[in-house]
Amino acid sequence: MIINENNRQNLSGDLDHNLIERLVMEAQNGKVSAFGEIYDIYVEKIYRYIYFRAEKADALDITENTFLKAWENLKKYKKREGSTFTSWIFRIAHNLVVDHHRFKKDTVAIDPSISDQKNESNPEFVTEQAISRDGIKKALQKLKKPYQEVLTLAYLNELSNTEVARILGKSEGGLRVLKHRALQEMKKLLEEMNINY
Amino acid sequence: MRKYFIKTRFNQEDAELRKLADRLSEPDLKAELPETDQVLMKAHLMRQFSQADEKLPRGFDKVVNCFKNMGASTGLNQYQKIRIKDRVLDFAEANDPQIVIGRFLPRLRFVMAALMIMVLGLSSFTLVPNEFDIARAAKWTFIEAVEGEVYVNRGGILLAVSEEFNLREGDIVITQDDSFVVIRFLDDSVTRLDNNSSLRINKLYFSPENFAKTEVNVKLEEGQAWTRVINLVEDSEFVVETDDAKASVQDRASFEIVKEDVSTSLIVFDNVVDVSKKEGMIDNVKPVVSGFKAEISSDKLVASNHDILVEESKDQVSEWAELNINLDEDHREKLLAESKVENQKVLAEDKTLIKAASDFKSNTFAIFNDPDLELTKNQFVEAHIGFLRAQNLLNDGKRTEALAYLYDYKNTINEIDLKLPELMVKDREKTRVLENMIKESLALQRKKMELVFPDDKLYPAKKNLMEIDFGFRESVVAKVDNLVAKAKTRLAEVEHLVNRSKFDEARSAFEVYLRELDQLVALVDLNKEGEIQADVFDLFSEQINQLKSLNAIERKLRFMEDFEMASMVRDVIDVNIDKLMLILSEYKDKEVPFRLIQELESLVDNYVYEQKRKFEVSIELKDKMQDYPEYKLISEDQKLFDFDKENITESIIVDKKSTAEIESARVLDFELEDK
Repeated sequence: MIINENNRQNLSGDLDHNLIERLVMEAQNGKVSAFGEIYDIYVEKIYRYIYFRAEKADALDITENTFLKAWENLKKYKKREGSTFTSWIFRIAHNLVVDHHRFKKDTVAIDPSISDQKNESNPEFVTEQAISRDGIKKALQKLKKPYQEVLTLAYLNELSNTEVARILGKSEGGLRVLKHRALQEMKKLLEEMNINY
Repeated sequence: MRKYFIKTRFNQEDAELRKLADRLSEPDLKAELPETDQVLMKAHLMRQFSQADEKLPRGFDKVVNCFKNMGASTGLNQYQKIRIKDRVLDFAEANDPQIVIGRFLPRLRFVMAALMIMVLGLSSFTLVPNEFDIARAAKWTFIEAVEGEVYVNRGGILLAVSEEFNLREGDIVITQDDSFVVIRFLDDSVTRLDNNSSLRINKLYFSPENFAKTEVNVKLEEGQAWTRVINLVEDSEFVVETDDAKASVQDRASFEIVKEDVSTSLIVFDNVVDVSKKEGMIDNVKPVVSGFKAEISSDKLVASNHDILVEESKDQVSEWAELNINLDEDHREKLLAESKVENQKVLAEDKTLIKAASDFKSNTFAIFNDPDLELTKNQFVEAHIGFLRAQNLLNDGKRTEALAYLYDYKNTINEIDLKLPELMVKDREKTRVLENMIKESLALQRKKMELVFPDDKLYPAKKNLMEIDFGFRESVVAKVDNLVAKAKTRLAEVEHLVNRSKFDEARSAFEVYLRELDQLVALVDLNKEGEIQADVFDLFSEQINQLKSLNAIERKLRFMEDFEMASMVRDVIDVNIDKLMLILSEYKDKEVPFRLIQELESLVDNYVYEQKRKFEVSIELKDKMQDYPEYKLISEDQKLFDFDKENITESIIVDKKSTAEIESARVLDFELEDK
């Protein structure tokens, strides 16, 4: 369970949607500082989501673009049944990642290097687990897109089932099935690749 | 209320889950819990349950755990977050959220997104030259060296670490038996943890307006740590806390800190550390200078001066301390070498820099669209490159060529300083941006140069930098602050030279210090009724800090037997203390901050008069003892008292027959024994 510094998450680890909706309303009325708070809440999650689905060198730019786009289109957002701001902003991130791949005309290449230059904008690694993690990253890359998405959102970002379901536009039951299949597929791939997990 | 069912395999765990499900259908939380807690706990149980029915088949747990670990160790550092946030909010401020791009033009949406990616990708060249980006991006907090088993607890997840593992706020670094770790902070300071220790990273902050201004706060939860704080600029701070105490450095210091069961002890080996009790009713800060130690008890019932015991560290320097003193010197050389490599890298790309500078004219994101500002900025960039070249040349021993670049650098910046008022009239806001850019560059270079001393090859570059006065024309306070910073730098040079037994050079540096001090005093005196009045107590505080440094220097000089220079330093201390007292008396109608009085009292009681008194008693005793050759003085460790080493201790054993004659000996506590 994680409670962040501003208690933006409750004990169960879900985002505080009431606070978020309030901030969104204020931002829609032009209050930039409210958008700043929205940025603080989402930046790590969005970055993590993008990082595992695009090239490392572009992850920062795409993260930034997500928020720029979110600001530009903020007035278009309306809270609806089955849809929250979280799912909306992740949808933007998802679209930008798709656009990015289309623009680059490249498949996603996950750099398997273990240690990063400290001068670059790279997240850190845990060396002891590096071998398993690289293997897992490679396997992730080989999965179908829906499976990649669900594993990234549910386990790398540790969003709740409810949130993930909303982002992917699925029911919770459907999501559980998708997760289960994604993990099965992942496990199979890891075994085929002889990767120790 | 919805009923929950679980498909089970009828094993023990499933039985437990079934019971939970039954209870959850009609939650039965005890009435003792406050209502809000009940609601939160219920939500937590519901969530646990909704994920419990996803019990994963064997082997999946490992995959999931691996994912979670990957997620936990992936993220942005503070610099990246701030940088992106700045851009996003700048964009937001400049653009009404009503503007909808590509709403009716789907293809345009794609084109705009692509353009945005390209333009923002290029924008890393826009606002400041690359060298500053390199300087900023290089400043992480990370594990520099590891021996044995070292872990980081991050959000409850234990991660094994290795070199270059990047640390964040909230991380706890833990060492096991026979293990050791070096943490390098974003301000280039280092902390070294001994075995079976743990250190929490509370705060890692740099100011977005000036990356040289940093705040670091760590907590030693258990064990032993050595910290070497490197040359902080004004308003920066490095704090090491424990449950009992807080040790704060505003400038530079080396110290060892040990967390014991109910107390914390600290020994300072370089400069000054301000120590206070963690919990207390009184804001009680004691400065601890080099060669002294502090013991802080965690007696929470009493909060007073007596809870922080400061005394001279008489123990022999431990192996741990010796190791770290040597490692500190290695660290200094490493930082100088890194700076050299950084400069070379920038110089190798200097064509790109110049090109990027000229590209600003056509870049729509350029902030300097005025030709005069553009020209001024380019002049600065070129001069800065010249400064880096000068450093390279100095390292290669080509002093004459280097001096030419240094001369150009200083002149260019002075010219820009003179030009700024005119530019302000044209465009105040953008000129301020340029001014701040130059100030930040100077601050970063000065911070790097703090590691350079008069006996280093790069010293002419440092001297050149110190001679530059930029951005002070409008403010006396800024001028005064600059002179204070110079004085501090000069004192550090004196101490460095004394440590290396280079007494002649130390004396020259000290004379320069005295001249700069006179300039400072004259400036303050001239303006004391003016704008600096509001900052006068900060100035006093600074002066007290300098006196503490002078004390440390004097002690070292006496230990190294340069008594002549020690006397010079002693005279300066005495004169300045008297001056301070006099000035403070002029402010008797104003409310002098309590902390200032405490600092001054502490300085006088613990360091100045005590030292002076001991020294004077020593001379007097020595004279008197010459009249009584049949008597011997024996120090408390039963060795013969050695006047030449000025080894005065709190208690000296004397022959009781001589007590009546040796009156001055009563100043100290004597234990008597028969000869």
